[in-house]
Amino acid sequence: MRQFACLLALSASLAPTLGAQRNAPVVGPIAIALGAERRGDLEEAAKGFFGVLESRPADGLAILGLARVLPTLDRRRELMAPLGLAVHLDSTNIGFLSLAVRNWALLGEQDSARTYVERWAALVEGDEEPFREWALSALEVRDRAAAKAALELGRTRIAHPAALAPELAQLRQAEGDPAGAAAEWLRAVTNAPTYRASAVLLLGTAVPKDRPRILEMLQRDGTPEAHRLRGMLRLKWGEPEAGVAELAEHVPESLNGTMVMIRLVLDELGGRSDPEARRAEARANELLAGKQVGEARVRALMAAATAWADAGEEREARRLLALIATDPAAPPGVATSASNTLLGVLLAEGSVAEAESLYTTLEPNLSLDERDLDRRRIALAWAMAEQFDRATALLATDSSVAAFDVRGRVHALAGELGPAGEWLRLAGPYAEERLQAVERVQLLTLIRAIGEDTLPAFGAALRALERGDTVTAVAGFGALAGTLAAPGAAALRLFAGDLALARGDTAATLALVLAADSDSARATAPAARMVRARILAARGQAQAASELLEGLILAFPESAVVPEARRLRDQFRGAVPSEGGG
Amino acid sequence: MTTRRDFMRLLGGVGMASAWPGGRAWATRPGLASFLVPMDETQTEHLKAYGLAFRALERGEEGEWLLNYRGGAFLLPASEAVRRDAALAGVALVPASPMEVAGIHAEIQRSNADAIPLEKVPKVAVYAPPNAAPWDDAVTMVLEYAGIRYDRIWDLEVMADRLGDWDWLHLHHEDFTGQYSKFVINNAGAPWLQQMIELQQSTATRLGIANVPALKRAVAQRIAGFVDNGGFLFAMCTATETLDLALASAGTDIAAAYADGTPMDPVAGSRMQWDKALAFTGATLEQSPSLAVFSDIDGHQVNGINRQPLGAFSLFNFSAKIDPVPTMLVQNHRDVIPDFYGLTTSFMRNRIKPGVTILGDELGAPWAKYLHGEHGQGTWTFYGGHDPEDPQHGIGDAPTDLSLYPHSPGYRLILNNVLFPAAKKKELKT
Repeated sequence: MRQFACLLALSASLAPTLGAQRNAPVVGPIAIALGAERRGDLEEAAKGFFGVLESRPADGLAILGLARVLPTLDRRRELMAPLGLAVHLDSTNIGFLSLAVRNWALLGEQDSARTYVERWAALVEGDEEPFREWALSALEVRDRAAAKAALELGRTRIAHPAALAPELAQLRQAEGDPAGAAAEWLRAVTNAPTYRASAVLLLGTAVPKDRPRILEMLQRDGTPEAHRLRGMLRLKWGEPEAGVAELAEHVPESLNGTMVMIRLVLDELGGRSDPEARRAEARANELLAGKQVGEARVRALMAAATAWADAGEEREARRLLALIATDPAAPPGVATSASNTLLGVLLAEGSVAEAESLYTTLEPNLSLDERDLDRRRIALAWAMAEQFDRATALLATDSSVAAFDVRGRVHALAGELGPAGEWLRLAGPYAEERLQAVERVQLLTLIRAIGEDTLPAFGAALRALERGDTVTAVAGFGALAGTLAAPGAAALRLFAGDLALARGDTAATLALVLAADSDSARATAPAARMVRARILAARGQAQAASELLEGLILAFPESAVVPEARRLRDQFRGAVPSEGGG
Repeated sequence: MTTRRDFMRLLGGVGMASAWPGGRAWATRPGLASFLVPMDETQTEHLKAYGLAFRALERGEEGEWLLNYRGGAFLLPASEAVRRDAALAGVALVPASPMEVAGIHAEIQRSNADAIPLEKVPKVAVYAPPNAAPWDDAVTMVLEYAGIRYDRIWDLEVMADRLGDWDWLHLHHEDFTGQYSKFVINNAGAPWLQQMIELQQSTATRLGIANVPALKRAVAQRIAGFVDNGGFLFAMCTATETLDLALASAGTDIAAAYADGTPMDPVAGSRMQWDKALAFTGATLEQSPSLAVFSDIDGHQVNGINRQPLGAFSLFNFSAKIDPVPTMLVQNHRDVIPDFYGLTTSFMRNRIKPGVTILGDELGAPWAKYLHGEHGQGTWTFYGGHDPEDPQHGIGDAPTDLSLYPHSPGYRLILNNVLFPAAKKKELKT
């Protein structure tokens, strides 16, 4: 990239030389030399370029040609004599001067390089380029001292505190002076805020032990720009909320400045999905919204609300969504989206009546599918609130498979197992999402195994499970099992055992699956033994687990779990690699 | 150890299926039915079926191997132990009454099939370094999967002349030229290679042998002696080619300098004594120490500049009643099997000695895949390639999970070899 930039500068500076040839075809000896270079015959090309310079010693194309060809042939030093002559003949040609600076520096002749830097700088007073070219060329040959001398000379000559600050910052960082690097970056950013992204990117690579010194330096400086840099770095180094909070106190006055800064923040947080990052993102979007008006403000608020909701901060999300839903500047799509998100938040909070009221407001603007989806969500929420009639009423006009599924679940949540089983059966084994279909079939199987028409205790335990209260759910199902006939009791105990296992309570699981492994419940016993075998194996009792699996295979050869049992047994006896490799 | 010649002599007067129309003693007992273990497409667990037969023999039960009948089916006693074992392994059984067994034998008599009694539990040894995982080797993998008991032996057991303790010896990807599979230059510094080199060198030192190539040649010679004395040898992958190279190079140095301190003899090729080799002759040796290729015996040259693409190989259809041994070795429910690479994948026909039986080859290709031959009183079988269900197998690849390939026809060929020493049959060569 740097070479590319150098080439651009060189081409521009040689433009007067080339201008006369712009519309004329390249012919004669220079064309022959260029042809040899294209063919890869570099010796011949160098010979040709030298030949051209014999008759036209300041020919830009020939000098450039030699500058390309000779280093490849490891003959860079041969360039310097014709280049010196060219500079002598055309002493204001910046292209020649920059080539001289670069090539002397690359040859390690820093005094000669400096001579040409002085001549170049005299032509372009206040320009950093001569010093930068020297420094970067010196760095290419790992002469850090010469690079430092070049940059410091440049700052003295230009007499500006921020002159060559980005280059000096990188040099200080490479020298192991993180505070010095931060100070230089701060100078650069204060002078030109567009350097902020580079400053954050490069300072951000500091090793953890250097970071406190950088933050301390910026804190000590105390200027708004220092705080902005500090905030960005904290955000990058794992303190997103604190970083955004620091930025919020030092927002640039201009809208553009704010937007650029917030965009940097959001880019930095992009790809992170942890709650802290999402909260920081929400705050940053709110900052942005505070600087904007109209539709742009609404979009920023929507992004903030989504981030709050993703972070699990429903109250914050709700606050913003309510603002958007009532904002006349909100475009219809955004308002609807906000309202839907708000509906979800209200349902998650358990504010079902408020959610239904919001739905009624939204309904005219919703598509048919969106209406059905929202009604099903509200119906389930009513069922969770034990308002089963209201739940059923909401589904009255929906004859989709998904509605049958929800009706079944509503009845199950009410403990009305008869109608629950009937609706779940009507919904069938298919759904848009496989997991949903599997859950439905599992619930239907359980209900059928229980074989009772009404069991309010089942509904109560299921509602506990839906609320995420597994402890209550497991206890509820376990207690209920004690009141049921064998097949139903075993199925319910196995179900409860799976739930207990999912939360790592192996003692409760073992007790439940042991009770589920009954001769009078042949449909459940094999699965119960599989669970027991897995627990035994996890405890290092592979032999006991293996014997259990053998008993399972022999006693229930037709069971669907037998292939899995055989595979597990093979793993225990080392016949196949265990999961995760061999 | 019962030599091959011993059992031929013992059984010299025993005929084919027709000689015992009722089958073995267990099958003739009135009222006692048999279990047919079909090995055609109806079998649910082809590989474990071999283990079922093996364990029946271990329990002292006897059976029959029904060559060319329903994919090489087994007939086992209808004992509770067999039923239980099959249920645990998921092997499909078909109960057969004595009448039905008689019908099977009658059908076998009428067709290109034969019934071979299985009555001896072969003592199986696998030659592998002590630190090798079962998943490094297709044979140990399939023996573990099928549940066939085996002993793992290595140089110390071989050099202590203990090979006679076993009937069947398996070699897999050992490099008997002692050059660490020629991985040294291209994998220098890899921990697994360092470990391999250290282990081999310390073993040579422990045995008082100058270097690893010399140790491996001595081991190869003892293995050839084991076969000569009536042992059954089965080798796969590099072990096939390098065993013969080691045997034939008794008078010359074919190992690179990194293995024995001296470079390969530049005229080693002309000093090879091919009469000492089991299967191959006239091969040209690979001189480059950095190329993981040993000679032009291998047709596919997986690591060479002339690497050939994989095709499929076909099994030869032998006459069961006249050539029972090769027939046993090719029993399968598939005739054509997808090929798979190994450091040695196949065997060029022009390098195979006359008299060697080709059991499987790729039609139209200049190479064969699966060979069988005799040496002294014993036999050897060579099967090219590394892992029948991992055709492109590379160093560090995940181990093959055979529960995903319970019908693998390529692995079945290995198991045919394991059960082959269990069978007793009069040989009638074509």
